[in-house]
Amino acid sequence: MGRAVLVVSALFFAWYLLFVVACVFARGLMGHRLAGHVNVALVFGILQFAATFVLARRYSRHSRETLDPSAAQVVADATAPERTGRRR
Amino acid sequence: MTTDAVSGDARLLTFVLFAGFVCVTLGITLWARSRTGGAADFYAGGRAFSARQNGFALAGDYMSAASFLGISGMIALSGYDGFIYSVGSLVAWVPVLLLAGPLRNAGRFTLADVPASRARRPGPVRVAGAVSTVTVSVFYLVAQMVGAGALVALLLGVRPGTTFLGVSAGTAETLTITVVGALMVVYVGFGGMKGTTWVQIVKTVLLMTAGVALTGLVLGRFGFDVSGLLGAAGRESGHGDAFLGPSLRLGRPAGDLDLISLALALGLGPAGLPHIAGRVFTVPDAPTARASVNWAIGLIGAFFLMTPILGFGAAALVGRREIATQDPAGNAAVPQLAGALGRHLAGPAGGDVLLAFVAAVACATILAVVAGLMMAASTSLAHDLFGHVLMLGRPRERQEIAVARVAAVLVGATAVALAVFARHLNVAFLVGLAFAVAASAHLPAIVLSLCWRRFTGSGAVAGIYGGLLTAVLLVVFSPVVSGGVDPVTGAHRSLLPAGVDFSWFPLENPALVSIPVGFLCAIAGTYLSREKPDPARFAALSARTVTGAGAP
Repeated sequence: MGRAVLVVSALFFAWYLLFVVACVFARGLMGHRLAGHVNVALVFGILQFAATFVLARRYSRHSRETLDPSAAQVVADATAPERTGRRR
Repeated sequence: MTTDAVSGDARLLTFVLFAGFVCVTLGITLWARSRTGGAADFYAGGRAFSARQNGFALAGDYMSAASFLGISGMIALSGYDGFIYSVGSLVAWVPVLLLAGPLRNAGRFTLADVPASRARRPGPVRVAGAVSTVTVSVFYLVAQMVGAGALVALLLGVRPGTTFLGVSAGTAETLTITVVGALMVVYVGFGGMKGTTWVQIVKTVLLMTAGVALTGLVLGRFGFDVSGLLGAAGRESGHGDAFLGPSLRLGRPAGDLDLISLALALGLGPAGLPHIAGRVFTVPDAPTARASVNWAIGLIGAFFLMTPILGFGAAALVGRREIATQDPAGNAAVPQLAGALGRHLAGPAGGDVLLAFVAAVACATILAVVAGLMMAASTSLAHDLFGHVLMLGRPRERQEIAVARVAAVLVGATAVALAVFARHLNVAFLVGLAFAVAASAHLPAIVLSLCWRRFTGSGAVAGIYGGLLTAVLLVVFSPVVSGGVDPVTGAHRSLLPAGVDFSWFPLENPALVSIPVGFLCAIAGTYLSREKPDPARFAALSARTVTGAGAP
C-alpha cells in the first residue's frame, strides 16, 4: 500500500471522526438550518456518504492504473527469468 | 388504525411469503451441494463468483435486520441520532476496500491465514484466530437469533397472551430460534459457501427492492419535497427541529464518549469481521475482490441513504406513539410504515400486502446474515483448527469438509442454546461488542502482518488475545452487564437483575480502549517474545500481496 493511499485514508477517517465529534460537542452548529428544514447535521452526514463514494472510486482507479500493471510486471518478471533486465 | 398493526391476513401472507423464501433458498442449497466438491468449493464457492455477485453477497452479509428495522426505527423514535449509525455503517467500508486486495492475494480461506504466514510456528496464531473468529461469530449470532425470535413474534403478531396457528408467544420465540438455527446448519452444511452466497444475493435483491419501493412511496407522499418530509417528522414527533439534529439525550443515555467509542467500533470493525473478510476469497483475483467491495459500497450506501427517509417517514406518517406502542425499541416502525403506505395506496388489502412483503424481507434478512456468520465460524474451525493445527496442515480435503459440516452443527447448536437461554435478556449490545472485538483483535494482527517488517507470530497471538480479552472484560464490567440505569427515565437497563452492580468501566462499547490495547499488545508481544523476526517471511508475504501467487 502506497504512502499516498495511507495519508488519504487517514484524512478520510479524521473527516468521519470530525463528524462524530461534531454530533457530540457542536449540537448548536449541527442544528443550524440551511434550507427549509434541512440542517447542517443532515448535510454533514450526506457529505460522509459522498466522501466514501468518491474515495472508493479514486482508490479503484488508482489500483487499476498503478497497482495492477506493476503486479502483472512482477509476475511477468518472475515467470520469465531471462528478461529480468526490464524492471520498472 | 388499531394498535395491533398486523392483521390476520397480513400475518398469514407474511408467513406464506417467508415460507416461499425458505423453499427457494433450500432449492439453491440442494443445487449448490451437487456442485460442491473440494475445499475451495466448500469454503470459497469455487472462487468463481463475479464482482457483482460477490458485491451483492457482501451487502447481504452486512445488512442485518438491525440495519433495516433497527436503524430506521431508531430514527423514527429518536430522530437524527439514529442516522449517525447509518453514516458509520458505510464509512467502515473504506478500510474493507483497502484490505480486500492484499487479503485476497495473501490468504486462502480465513483471516488467520495472513498473520499465520508471518509466524515461525503458525499453530498458536491459527488457534488464536479460530478462538476469536468463533467468539465474534457467536456473539453476533446470539444477538441476531434473539432478535429473530422477538421479531418474528412481532411481525407475525404473536403477543403474550395471544396465539398464531395454535402457538403462544414464548413458544413462538423458542421455535423461531430453533428453526432459524436448523435452517442455517442446512444452508451451510449442505450448500457451503456456494449455497450461502446465492442466499445472500437473493436476500439483497429483496431488501433493496423493499427499500427502494418504500422510499419512493414515502417521498411520493410528500411530493418529493425532502424538507417537507423533515418538517412533518419534526412536527409529529413533538420535538420540532430538535428532532432533526443530534441530541443524544434521546439516543444513547450513557454519554458522549460512548458515542465516539461506538463510532470507532462501527468504522473499524467490519474490516475484521470474519464473515465479511472471508468473502474476498470467493472471487478469482484481487482486482475482482476490490471491484466486488465497490459494488457492496454502492449497494450499502444507497441502502443507508434510504434509512433516514424511512425513519423520518415513519415518524411523520405513523407517529411516535403508535410505533412505541407496537415495540418500544422501534423495530416495528418500518413494517408499520409499509402498512400505512399500502393502506393509503390501495385500502386495507394494500396495507396487508405491503406489510407482509416487508415483514417477510426482514425475516429473510436475518436468515441470510446468520448463515454468513455460521459459514465463517465453521470455516475457521475446520481450516484453522482442524486442518492446520490438529492435522498439521496435511488433512485430506474430504476430512476437512466433513469437519466443517460437524462444526456448523456444533456452532449452530451452541448459538441456539445460548439464544434460547438469553431470549428475554437485552442482548443488543452483543452486535457492538462483536464489532469491537473484530476491530481490536483481528485488525491489529492483519494490518501489522501486512505492513510491519519486524512483526512476529508471538505479536499476532498477543494482539489477538489482548484485543479479544480487553473488549470482553471491559463489557463485563460495564453498565450493560450490571448496575446500568437509564439517566432519563431512571429505569434499570442491564443484563443482570437490578441490585447486582460490579461495574466500574463507564462506556457501553469498549472500542475506544480495546482497539489501542489490541495494537499495543501486538507490538509489545513482538518486542518482548524470544521469537526472532523473520524478514524472509515478510518479503514472501509482501510479494504475495502483490502477485497472489502461492498462498498458504
